[in-house]
Amino acid sequence: MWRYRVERLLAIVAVALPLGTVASLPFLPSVRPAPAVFSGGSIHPLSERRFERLPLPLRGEPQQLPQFTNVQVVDVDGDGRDEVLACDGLGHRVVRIDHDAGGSPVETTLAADVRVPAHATVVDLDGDGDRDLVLSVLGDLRPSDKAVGRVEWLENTGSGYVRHVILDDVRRVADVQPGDFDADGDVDLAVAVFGYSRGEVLWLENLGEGRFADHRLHCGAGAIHVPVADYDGDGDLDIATVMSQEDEEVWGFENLGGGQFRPTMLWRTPNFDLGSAGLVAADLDQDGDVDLVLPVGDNLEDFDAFPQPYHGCLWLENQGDWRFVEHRIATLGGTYAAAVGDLDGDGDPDVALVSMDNDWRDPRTASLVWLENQGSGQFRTWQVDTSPIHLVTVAIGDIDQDGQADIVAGSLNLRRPYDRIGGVTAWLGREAKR
Amino acid sequence: MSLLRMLLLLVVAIEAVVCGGLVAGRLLRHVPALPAPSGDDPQLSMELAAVAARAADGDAADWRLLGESLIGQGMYAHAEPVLRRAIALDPREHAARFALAFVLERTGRLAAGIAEYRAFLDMPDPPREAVDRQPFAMFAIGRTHLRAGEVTAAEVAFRENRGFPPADFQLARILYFSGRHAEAAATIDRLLPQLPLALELHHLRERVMEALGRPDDAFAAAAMEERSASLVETSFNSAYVGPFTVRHGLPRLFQEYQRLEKAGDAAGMDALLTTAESLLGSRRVPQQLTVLPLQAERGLARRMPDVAIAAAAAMREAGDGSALPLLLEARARDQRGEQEAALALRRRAVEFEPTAQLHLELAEAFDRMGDAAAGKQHRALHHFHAGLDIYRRNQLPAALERLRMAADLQPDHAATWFHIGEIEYHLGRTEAADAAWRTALECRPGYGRAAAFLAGPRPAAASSSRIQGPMKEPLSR
Repeated sequence: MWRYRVERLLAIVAVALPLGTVASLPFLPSVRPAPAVFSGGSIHPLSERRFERLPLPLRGEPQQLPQFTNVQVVDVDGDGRDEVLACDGLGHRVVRIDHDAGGSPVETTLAADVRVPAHATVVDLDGDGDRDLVLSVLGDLRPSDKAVGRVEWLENTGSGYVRHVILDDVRRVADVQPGDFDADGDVDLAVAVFGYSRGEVLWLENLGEGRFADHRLHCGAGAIHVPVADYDGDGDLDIATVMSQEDEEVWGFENLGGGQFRPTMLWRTPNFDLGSAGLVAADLDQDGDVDLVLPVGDNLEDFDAFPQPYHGCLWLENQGDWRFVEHRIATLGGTYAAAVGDLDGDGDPDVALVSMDNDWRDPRTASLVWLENQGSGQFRTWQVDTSPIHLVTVAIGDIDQDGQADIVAGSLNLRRPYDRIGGVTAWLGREAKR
Repeated sequence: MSLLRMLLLLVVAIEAVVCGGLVAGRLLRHVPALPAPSGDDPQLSMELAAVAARAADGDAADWRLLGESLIGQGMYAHAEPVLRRAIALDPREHAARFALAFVLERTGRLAAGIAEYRAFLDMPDPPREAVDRQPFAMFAIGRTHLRAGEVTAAEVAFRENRGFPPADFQLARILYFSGRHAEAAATIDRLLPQLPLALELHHLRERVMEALGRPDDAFAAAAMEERSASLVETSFNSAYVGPFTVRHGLPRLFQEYQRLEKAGDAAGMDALLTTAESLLGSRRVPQQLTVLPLQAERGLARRMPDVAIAAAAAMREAGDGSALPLLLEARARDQRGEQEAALALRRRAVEFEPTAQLHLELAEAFDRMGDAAAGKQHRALHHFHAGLDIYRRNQLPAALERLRMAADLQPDHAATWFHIGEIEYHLGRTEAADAAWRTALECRPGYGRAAAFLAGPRPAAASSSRIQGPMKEPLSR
């Protein structure tokens, strides 16, 4: 009996073992460690200076996916207090964000039906003593070579604005900056026509009565900003620009007087993927001349961008005679904008940088950093925040009038992931460092 | 021990070894690491999980397909180990090797990306698709060297790829920026017959001619830029990734919608829209602003204007301040017989998004209302915008005809005269061009572009001005 019992048992095992194995195989999990997944995102030490994040609500309810193209901290209405001036690319409007008596943000639409505003410049264009607005109208957020751009003048009438088109039949306009370039006492305009594969840089000569004559300074695609300053220290206003498409170059246009300009290429890179994203004029080393700050990291040409090792911020040090020397002062994946201001109250200019495309799948990667100016051309990067993401524009100013510098940034939510969604966000400076 | 027992023991032992192997293999199998579902696209998460499950039990091609799907969703970093697994399973997987090189360089590992592109080029017995990709890989090597600041190595790579127009163009750029202007000019001149209307080529030629001290040729090259709407491709990323993006998730549904629309399958379109709506729910994703206009269009197609008006309102609520919701509502108001409301919406839209079509609609509306002056003005602007669209497709006589119609209706429109001048110039009729530019300046004193053309040199009609005929649309980048 015992003998047959063993054989029976073996027979059962012989049948059950393969059947059981086959039946259980699909349910067996893999115990192999998951492969490492690369992250090229930028993470920096947390800022010792404290900032308090404050989303600035617009229209009461958040838009689906806000697309802000520009924010500034500027006194729009001339009341002596700075407000936030924002360009809403999805809503096709320009808005001012102020605070009511209780300190709550209040939004006012200054201009609606503006076909993707890229920038709004506060300037007394007609010399009547009040603050007008000059709008840089992109016309289309998507790549386009159509003549959909405009420069519009919102004339301040005291009770509101009257709208005038002062330049059309041009490609996408990204920036307009004022200056009396021909020294005739009125305000002329420098214009960055970004276009797409075609573009140009113009200056508009003020002929009076809202009429302007356009003069081409440069032909090329991707002019983003036209910062105006006396770069050569000769007492008149010059113009600089960054070209950001095929040819990634920074140009200076030296004002020779009489409406004449001499172009000089100040900087270029053979890396046409660098992603120049803007140009800011500032005396970063406080040596008395105007330098240029160049954020790099725009890779909107890709379906899905990934941070690159060359993204970050370059300081183009003005060494005189139209010679600018490049220094890398920060690395930040997907850097899209820079602003200059004294963030730690120590008297020297610091830099704020925002990222559109850091490695957002890693929640630790930075969307906002600031660069502490440590003197002698040295900058230390501090991480301020990881949210909201997709930031493309940044400004520095004291929006709560507490004597401490704040940071304001805008989100352009075009790409995945669609989380940590922001519109216009402020980071209020809360204490001096250490 | 009986023979039977011995046999059974032997069977069980063999089975234990085999089953143990199977279990061990199963426990140690490679499983793709997918990103955590983000909630952006629930359909996508489900479909990717299914592709990953197939890959875990499949062969090299399954792993490569998963890798490409991940690339299509921008998940480059997650695609890397998947593609490495595909290559490990089958070292002859050419497409996986190319994809791995792409992923490495797009995630900023430039040297590793170049090495993988080289490995791809060195693979034996490439199939036809791999042979077709070889110049792209060579170009990517040159481009990646440029991204690393290695200009000399980039030049070598582009020279190895001679005959591939994008590589020749990059070589010409390197030659220009390194001061070898004559060689740059020769390279461009070799390329021009292949790419007679390539914008960047004319732009580069303008710079090269300026550097060579040939202002007339520079002027002619600059003049060609306006009508050269094709582009020298410098990034193939979108072309490579594009087909992968529509394999899964909501993009696949929208592609299916387009197919149904072409087939005129109204019921299928409605069903698919319903599916998309339920998938989207209240998610904050851009597809919301894709679905809402489709809902409005379906409402208009079914003569249900209230549906269209509600969809347009939802678009505005979602933050869309463009002309599109205004125009959708205008069509709905037309259906409800509210002509004045429709006209007001169109007038508002045309102020900030003028198009040939919209001006035509307004011209017809004003004509119907008996306002001949307003109708005439909008008809002029219709011809103006239509003429420019045609001009930028390089159909010069047809564009000129439309612009002259615009000028007849609105003779004080400066931009119309400016573009008439441009076209006359390209047709070699410089006197007519000058006359048009002078008229433009009379209409708008200070019209800088007209003044610049009038002051510019007058070479005989540019050698490439005889290029005629339609051309392809600009390529995406």
